[in-house]
Amino acid sequence: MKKQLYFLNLLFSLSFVSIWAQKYTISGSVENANSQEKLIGVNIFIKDLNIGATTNSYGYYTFNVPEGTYDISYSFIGYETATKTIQVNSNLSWVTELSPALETLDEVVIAKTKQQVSLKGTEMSTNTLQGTTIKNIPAVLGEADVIKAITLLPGVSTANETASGFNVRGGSSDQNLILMDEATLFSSSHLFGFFSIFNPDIVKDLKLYKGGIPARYGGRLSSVLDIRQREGNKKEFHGEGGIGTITSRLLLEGPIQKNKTSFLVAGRTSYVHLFLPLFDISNSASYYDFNLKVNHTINEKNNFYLSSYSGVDNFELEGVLSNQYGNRFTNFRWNHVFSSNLFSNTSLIYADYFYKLDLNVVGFSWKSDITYLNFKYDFEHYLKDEFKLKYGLNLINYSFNPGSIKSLSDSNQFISERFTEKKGLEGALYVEADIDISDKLKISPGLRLSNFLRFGEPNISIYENNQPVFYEQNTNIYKEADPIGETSISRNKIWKDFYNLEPRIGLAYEINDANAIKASYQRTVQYVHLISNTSTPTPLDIWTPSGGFIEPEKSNQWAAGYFRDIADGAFTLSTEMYYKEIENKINFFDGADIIGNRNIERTLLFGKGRAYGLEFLLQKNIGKFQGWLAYTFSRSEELIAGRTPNEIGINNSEWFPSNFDKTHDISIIGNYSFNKKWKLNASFNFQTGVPATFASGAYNLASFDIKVPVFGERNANRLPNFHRFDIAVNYTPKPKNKKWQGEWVFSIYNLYNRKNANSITFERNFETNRNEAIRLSIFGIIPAVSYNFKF
Amino acid sequence: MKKIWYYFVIFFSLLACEEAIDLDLDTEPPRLVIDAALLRTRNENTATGFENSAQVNLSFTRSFFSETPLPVTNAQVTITAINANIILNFIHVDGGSYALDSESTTKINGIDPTESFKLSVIHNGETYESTEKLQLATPIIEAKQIKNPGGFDEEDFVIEVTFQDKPGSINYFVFDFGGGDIFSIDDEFIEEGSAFTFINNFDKQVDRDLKIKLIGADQRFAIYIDDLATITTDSGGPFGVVPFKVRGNIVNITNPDNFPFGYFRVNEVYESTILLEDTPKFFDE
Repeated sequence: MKKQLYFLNLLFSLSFVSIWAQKYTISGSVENANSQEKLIGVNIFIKDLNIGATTNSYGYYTFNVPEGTYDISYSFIGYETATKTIQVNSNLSWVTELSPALETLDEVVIAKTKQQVSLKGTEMSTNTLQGTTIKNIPAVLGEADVIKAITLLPGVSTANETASGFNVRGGSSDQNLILMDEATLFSSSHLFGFFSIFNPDIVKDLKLYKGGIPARYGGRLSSVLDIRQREGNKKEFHGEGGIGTITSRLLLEGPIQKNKTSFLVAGRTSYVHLFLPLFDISNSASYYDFNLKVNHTINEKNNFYLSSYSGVDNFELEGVLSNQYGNRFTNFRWNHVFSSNLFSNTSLIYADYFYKLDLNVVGFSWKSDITYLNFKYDFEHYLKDEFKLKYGLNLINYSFNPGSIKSLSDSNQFISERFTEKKGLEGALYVEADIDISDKLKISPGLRLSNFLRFGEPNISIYENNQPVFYEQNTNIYKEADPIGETSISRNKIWKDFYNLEPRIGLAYEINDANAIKASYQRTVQYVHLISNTSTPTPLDIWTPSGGFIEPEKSNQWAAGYFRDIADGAFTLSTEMYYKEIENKINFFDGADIIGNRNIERTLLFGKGRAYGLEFLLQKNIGKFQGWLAYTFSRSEELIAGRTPNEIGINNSEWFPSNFDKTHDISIIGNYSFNKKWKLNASFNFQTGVPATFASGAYNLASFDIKVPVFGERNANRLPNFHRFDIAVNYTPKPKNKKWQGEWVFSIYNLYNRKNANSITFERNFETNRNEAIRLSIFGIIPAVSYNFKF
Repeated sequence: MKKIWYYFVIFFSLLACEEAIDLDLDTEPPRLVIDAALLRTRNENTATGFENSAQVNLSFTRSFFSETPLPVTNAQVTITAINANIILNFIHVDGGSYALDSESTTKINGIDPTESFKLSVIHNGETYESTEKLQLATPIIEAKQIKNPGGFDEEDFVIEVTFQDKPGSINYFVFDFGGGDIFSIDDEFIEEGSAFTFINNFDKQVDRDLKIKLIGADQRFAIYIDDLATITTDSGGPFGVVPFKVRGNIVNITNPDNFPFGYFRVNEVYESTILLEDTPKFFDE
């Protein structure tokens, strides 16, 4: 603790170092020349001074330079590079416009375009993708998908092809902070994980932090996926969209008031369900999502944004059940430029996530939801070129409704009931600095002070020794404890509070123009948890906040890497190693009944996690052939020891592989442009099979006429290795008129029809009455055609 | 609740491909399986209104794909009524099945709800024990075959069972439809003491008698049945629960690490038998 305080002191004392040399501030923002949308991550470089910067999340940048005349270059992938000569003898500020390159559709980029900047910064363990890249990767049924695209990066995987969410560096999928226009999302999947909720057309920029997470982000252990939606064209009306096998999508954008206010609306809907009645199938699965963005510029110093998302999944088995779930959020943002070196963003976000299930068979309706109100106030402060600060605060007021039940029929045989609502307030203060110690050495220390207040609620169970899980010594069985009493705490009072300091630091040493080494450390704390005992999370799983029975999950991660620019940026190579440990990792005992459990604490055991790995990424960034090769070697393990030496724990209190431990993971993505009309995209993926629990015996119970399999230790076995090859051909006919540009995508998913095991189950065949091992494979070879257009 | 995922799996199966595969599986060393039941079954034709029975089956676990049971024929099995101090002796009949000897059969005229029963199995010098009390059930009011309200096709039908809920705190019941179709139900969300109706989908086999048993249970037995149902029906699938070893209530007191599988239960049972018809009457209506 003392060390951390010292560190904080150091940070603040540094910020008051006065600026000696007479320098002027030059600043500005960078926009798309066609639409006046702000551009994120544009590389700005002043060659004479050998300094560089990138535009921030809102499109702004700042330099402090001595008097003189400089050539400033602006480069951004997919845009024409612009150079401006500026004579500096006072503070200056201007807006730079970049024109999209004609070949926009043909660019495949990932991260780092101009290596001068990325080698110099302390940022590591991050990947950025753009909407166009995502659309170019061959996808199942031709549906371009954000989450599927990021799983092709090193260190990112999913448990299987239909798993909802993704796993970063051995972390579970609830450990990812998924932000869309700064709003935290609690679910990122449509149709239980077949597709993700991000419409690729509206994704302006996507950044994934797998490590070295800056202090401004918090609340999740493993990663941050920061997605920014496009803002809408301020100059003229445009549209784009696509017609695919599963969904169709349309995006419209344009000015409301020219050069001042723009709008963007986008929608997607699946339509397979519309055809099902033709085949006399009365069951359906469908989804839609809708994005809205309004951007209003008051003046150069003030910008307002309104972004909103709404997505719903519908799933119906006629008469048996109907099921809806979805996410909604609205974010109102105000960007304010105080001065050329002080920039602020204020966000007010309201969001909810709901899950509803009507079980007609049993006759009841179940509904659960999460709502939150989030206030964020962030500052970016450019004190000097060698010293930049970011600081701010973040407050989230949560309300978790774990479920309410009501009877569907008139017979009223079910009691309508609402489980106790859980309320909490998550707060954080942070400060982070970018300090250039020398030309070669950079350091980015950061500190986040986070807290969580869990408010009181009625009817809190009291357990003997405060242990909600009972251990039966003679049979070695964990089971739900019976409460010995009940207490109520007022809603206005705090039941339990947690405070944590989360230090973060990044270091970068630039060996020369083409080589750099970097290292980072992060501590992260998570106060809300997805409780799931299935191999992959389901929408029925319940998010639960920390409180009297659940401690926050905490993690430390250390990473180091070597980054190299080959042949003047034609290739880039990054190699990273990491080690991660997790405390208070939530787990459950064997056979825990989690779904619909009002006292979820009675099913939980707490353990540890550890993960380590080596990641390798080689990219080819220019030329007719572009693409990347990613390789990950990793381990991810869990330990659930007994709470006392007398308890057996899970797997005899020994470390075991987690559900998504994959030893080897190789992705090769490539595309080749034959000419302006034809392009070939291909991707190959190989992964070690994920851990599974196989049967290791069987017996009969005659009194129930049942054959019971005996299962071995948790995750002691593995599914067969997973591999798959996909290709797609893009055909872009010469536009007949300037207004309409179309593109055909012909794709084949799983070209050699590999039957990859999604799971292996052990069951009795009802006809032969023999035991069988059943492999479930989801996607065989799937050809698809889709048509994309822009106007 | 766990059965919900059944329906989602149906959805996946529209796209997915399920295939039986060959797999080399490890086999754990054989472990003793004790399947012991002392039952008081409602029978109006008897003087007490109940018929008592006791049955114990002993076997070893075998490899998963093996269809040959490994019966245990040389164990010493007793059940002791502790308060009444009555010892019931079992003898091996056939294929691991043990029945009361003739003298003991006469001793189990009544199973008193306040009595504690202790099962003892001695095998290979190790003693396995469990003590249980009678778990009361509730009558089945009606069981009938009806058209599936949520049926995929016209000839899809299900069983609708109505039973009388017991008043009082949470009660647990176990349903046994035969052929391993077992599950537990509790009355936590059921209106206190009302007649409760629910529907069970079942494997369609017609022109046979279907015997439905409603078995009294405590929470422990209900969990055991749920665990069995979980690992025999929906384990390991895309949304399946991580499979595990189902452990019962019997302890090896000589060598606790060498624990047995199976359960010792003392239950009250109500039965109802219906004839499953190919084209039930309701289709003509």
